[in-house]
Amino acid sequence: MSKVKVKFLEALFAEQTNTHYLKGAEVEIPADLAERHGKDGTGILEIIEDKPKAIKLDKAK
Amino acid sequence: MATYAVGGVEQIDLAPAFFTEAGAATAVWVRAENVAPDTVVYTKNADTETDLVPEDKDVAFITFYTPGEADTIVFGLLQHHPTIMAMLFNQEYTAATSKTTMLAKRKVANLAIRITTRSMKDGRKQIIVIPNVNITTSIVNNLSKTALQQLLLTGKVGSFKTTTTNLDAISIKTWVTDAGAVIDSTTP
Repeated sequence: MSKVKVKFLEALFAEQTNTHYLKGAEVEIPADLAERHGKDGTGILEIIEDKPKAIKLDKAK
Repeated sequence: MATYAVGGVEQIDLAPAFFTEAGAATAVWVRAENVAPDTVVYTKNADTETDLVPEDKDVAFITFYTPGEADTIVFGLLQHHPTIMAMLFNQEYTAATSKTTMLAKRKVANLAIRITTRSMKDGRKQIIVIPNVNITTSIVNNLSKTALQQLLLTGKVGSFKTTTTNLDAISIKTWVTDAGAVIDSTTP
């Protein structure tokens, strides 16, 4: 499972992994957890290392 | 999914009522301290049912269900706090002389109530938000040597709209850890 680096804006307890994350913690967590609590989810964490793949521009257009 | 045990009262807060789920984020809560023991009661009123038994039968052909009366929430306060009093009564308070003039006009206070339960089991507690409650207040207990005068709040629970589905709702219950952290109960 891919992991992403996030910063917790609020404390969170993840039931499935029995892990406490403290407010302000910067850790690598599973991508699905990050997505659920990211800015489109509950908004209690922010993804601080999100490297999008390079986009190839179509110059012909 | 995790299961939880709910009991006790750790804290009660009051705020002006709000009518949408999103209002919870901006509500300004005032703590109603010193809650009288054993007074916090939430009553879910049962629906009434009426059977229609045909003349030629002995069992119900159909049962009519009528929604019960609105749910009620009751709790007593041992402390007369000027801010809380102002939310509940029509009154004029002069801080400089600590004088409160209780006005004759009655008030039905439209408030939101937030109850934080005690952590009973597994280090978890519940936060119950009831956004729209019409509260009438009475004063109970004699001025006796062995009791305190209580403010008794009796609330009728009204509804608010949910954010995403726009449905009528009455309360929001969130389980958090002892320290107040959000719990993610999703299963892998």
